[in-house]
Amino acid sequence: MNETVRPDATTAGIGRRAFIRLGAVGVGATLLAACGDGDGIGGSIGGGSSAPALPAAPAVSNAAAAKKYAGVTVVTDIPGFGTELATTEQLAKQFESETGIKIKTVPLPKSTSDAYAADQRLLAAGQATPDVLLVDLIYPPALAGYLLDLKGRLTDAEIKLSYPNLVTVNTIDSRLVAYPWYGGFGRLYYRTDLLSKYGYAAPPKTWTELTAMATKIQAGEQPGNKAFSGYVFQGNAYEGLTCNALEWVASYNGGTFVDGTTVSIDNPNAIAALKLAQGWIGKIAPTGVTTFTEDEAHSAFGAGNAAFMRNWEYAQDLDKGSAVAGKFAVAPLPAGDVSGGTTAAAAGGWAVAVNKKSANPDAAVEWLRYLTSPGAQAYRAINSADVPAQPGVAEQADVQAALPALKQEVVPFARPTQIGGKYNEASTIIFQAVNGMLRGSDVESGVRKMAGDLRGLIG
Amino acid sequence: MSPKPSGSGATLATRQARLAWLLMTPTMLVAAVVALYPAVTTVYRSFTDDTFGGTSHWIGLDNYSKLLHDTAFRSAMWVTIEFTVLTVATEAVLGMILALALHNAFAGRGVMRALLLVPFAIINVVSASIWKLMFNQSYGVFNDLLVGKLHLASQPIDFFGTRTSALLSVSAIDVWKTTPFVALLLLAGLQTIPADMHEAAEVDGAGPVRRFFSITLPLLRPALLVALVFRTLDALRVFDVFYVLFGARADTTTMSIYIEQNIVDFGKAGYGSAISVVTMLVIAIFVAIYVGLNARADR
Amino acid sequence: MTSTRRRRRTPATRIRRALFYLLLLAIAVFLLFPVYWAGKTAVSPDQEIYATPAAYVPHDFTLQHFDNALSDSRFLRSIVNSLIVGGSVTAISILLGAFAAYALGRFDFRGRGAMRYIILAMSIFPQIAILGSLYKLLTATQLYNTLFALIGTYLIFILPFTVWTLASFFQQLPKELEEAAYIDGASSMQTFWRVMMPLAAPGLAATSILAVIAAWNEYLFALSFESDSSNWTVPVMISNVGAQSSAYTIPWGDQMAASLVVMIPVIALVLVLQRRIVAGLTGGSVKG
Repeated sequence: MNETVRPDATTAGIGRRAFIRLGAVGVGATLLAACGDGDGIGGSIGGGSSAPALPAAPAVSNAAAAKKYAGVTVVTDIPGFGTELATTEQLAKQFESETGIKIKTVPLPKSTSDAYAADQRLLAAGQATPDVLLVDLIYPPALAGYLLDLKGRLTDAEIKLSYPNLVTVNTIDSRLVAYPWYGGFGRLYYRTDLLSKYGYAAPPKTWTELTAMATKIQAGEQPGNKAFSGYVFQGNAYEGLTCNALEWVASYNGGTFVDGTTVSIDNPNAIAALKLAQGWIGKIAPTGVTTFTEDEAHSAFGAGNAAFMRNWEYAQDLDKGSAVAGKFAVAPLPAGDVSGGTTAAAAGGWAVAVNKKSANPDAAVEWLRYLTSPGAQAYRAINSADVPAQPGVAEQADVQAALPALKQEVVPFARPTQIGGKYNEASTIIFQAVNGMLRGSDVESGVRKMAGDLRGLIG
Repeated sequence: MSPKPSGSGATLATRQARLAWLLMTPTMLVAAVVALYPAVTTVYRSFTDDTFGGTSHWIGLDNYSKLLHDTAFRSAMWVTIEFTVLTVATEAVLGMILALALHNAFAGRGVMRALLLVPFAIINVVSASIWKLMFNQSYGVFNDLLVGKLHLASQPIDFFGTRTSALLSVSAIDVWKTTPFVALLLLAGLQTIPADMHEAAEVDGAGPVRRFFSITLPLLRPALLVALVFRTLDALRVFDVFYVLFGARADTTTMSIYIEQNIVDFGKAGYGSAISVVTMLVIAIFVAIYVGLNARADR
Repeated sequence: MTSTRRRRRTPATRIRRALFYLLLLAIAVFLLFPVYWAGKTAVSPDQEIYATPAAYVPHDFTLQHFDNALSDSRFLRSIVNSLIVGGSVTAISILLGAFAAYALGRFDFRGRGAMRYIILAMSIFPQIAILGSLYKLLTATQLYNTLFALIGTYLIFILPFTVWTLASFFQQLPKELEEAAYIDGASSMQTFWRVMMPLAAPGLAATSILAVIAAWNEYLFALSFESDSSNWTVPVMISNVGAQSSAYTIPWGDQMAASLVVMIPVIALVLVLQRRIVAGLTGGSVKG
């Protein structure tokens, strides 16, 4: 139906219509704003969602020292969503009330690379706020020059509380640029009901055992459930694959891609490990696993479509209502079937750092102290499933009750962040190469090329 | 094309030109303020070795000569170009069909037109996520339909397994999301075509297909051109949907993802800027092709 | 494409009509299935997302996700922010763009072709490439972390689109009406308001709709230029929804519920725009 126009029937002033429209939008927007919740948003604390009320945060042990800076405002990153946001806000409120230091919060984007990009921008521009930054474990090498050395500010005793591995990763050129906040280690999740159904008394201790178990279980289960696979993990081309690959290679005593600043990946053990992983695809792992991140593996296992899963500790939440609730348990990842083979878990997590340009470094350090204190770490472990970065806290009974995976042995391996600011590029070389191998390309030439590219990068 | 009312020719043309420039001034001001500065600084930076946490020195064309041998960039360029050609062609055809269908009067037309907006109104990142869910090999609904319900496949399909299947899958998502854009533009174009032209042709005995090709399509050309140019612009700069689906996978990296990798992940702002400039040139080539085709059709 | 003549209901016509409705049905399914899936996800507990075999109808209907989304105080605020930004950018673009489009579409002057491409060149850079420079510009002008930052930067890609689209509509309009207006003694600008704009009504409607939706969907600038959650727009808010989720989980149900809720204001706004613009500009006179 064509609308034909009589030119003389229009009103004078089309511009008027545009302004009327804008006015209507403006009026509507103002009305909506008046109806909406106007307080506790942006900057000040209070997300106001319908989450169940959290228990009170622990007392501030360094309150006496921190009170000296009462009235000062500290701008801090906080997680942008979920239970972590809630617990961190509780901690901030507690800190404010006990010390008089005002906390202004800046929520982080959900994706870590978005957060990193934001940090890059603000630090390169020389911004003085936020005073306190949250950084993924892989960032300190690149951001080191912009962060305050915490060695002069935290006592040796405080520093010794954390896992040594995590402290080393955050120490660049003998400066402790970030203090470990929470951790995470790769774990093996397995279906207890399926293991007993197929006659296995215990979870696999070596990768060969796992492959055999997964093959048998898959053969038995797949006729009934076409979507069933033996083993799911993170195979997408992203940082998570670097973690998985690190675990395979380290468990085979094949080093950690780059040891210190020496490229070490081209050794027979590492090649054997990667060949093993390549052999899983299409056999015990679905070909689609090369696009899986943590969430897909979590979902596949949670749907009951996998016998084994590699994931971080958070996946324990499948117990709270999924097809496999009550039917799975956690074990250390298997070791490689070679001499010197060991269970290996990639070390993940986040740390807290202080902006070198901060106008209030002392107050910022006090907030950092509280945020990373054993009490706060236990609080977050119980209420937002964050693995403590301190072995002392990880051994507490209430923490272990909340995160049963912590009862298991763990042998952590750090990613090769010692190569400094070029880590991201190195990781990209690694995960792109490994992803290619998982999708079928030749392992030996792939490892040679990876080693060559890494050497060319690191120099 | 400018109207010629009575009056002396020379001063009128100048007055017309002056009025035209006056009308464009606000737009040019906005362009100068928000677009010129980033454009100039990006081009400048492409001639430096600016890196995050480091210093910046002028290195002339070094970045560009490095780019010539950069296989990763070449791969990214081809991925992006193939995606663009595939999606823009599909959307043009499907959009035209949709626009023609919705141009008729029928019961429920208003509802259908509103439906057209629905894929559009879902946020990009959310739509990519839900499609990724549906495509999943282990628990996605497409495999459930194909294997479990319709028995068209014996094993769940890995929709993202090869470069080709990945490209087709991601193109399907983009077609779903932006065909409405093309359809809306073409529909508006159809509405400005006077009805009497069609009626006259109908009376002359021309069938619907003849009428489409000889009357509708030529009159729709300006709207079609705009739709194609802007869809192409967007497709050549695609980032979100590829990143959500495939991350930094080597064989599905687009030009924008490669730029992001270099500027953010690797901290190489200088090199990243050079890649941006070359990307812009690729886009400019496509625009030039459209302009050439359009000019030829004009004759 | 239609005629006011009555048609005899021949079998051929009936078949054509049936096929036509079949086509419409196919289109509707194509457009709606993913949205249905999102809707189903929004009213099911999260573990049904990956249920195998797939659940086509929710087994455990729940409104918890909608409750989670709506009770987040940041959520409503983000909708308001998006409406403000989208509305402002569209209004500015239409106004500025209509002027420029009139010049480019109806006037003959030297440099016309070049200007079209210079304006297009505004939106030729990938967003990620100009992000750093824009950030510096915004921090220098103190506009960082305000909604004006978004209104200004969105013009980079919305204004060229508006100019080009409107120019193409103006270009198509027949000369005769314009000349008639001149003969009646109208000036160029009077012709613009009284003749050109009403005729281009469908183009204005389509352009505003597309501009609003482009602003609504934009994520990268909205994420990078706002640090307070009170300035978040809808896409950033939705990616941070999910009060009960941990770091690695994607809160599917909450995200889908939030996405569906925000579709309502945007579709309402668009329908209102469409009707207002087309009806108002054409003075309500429509020929069937």
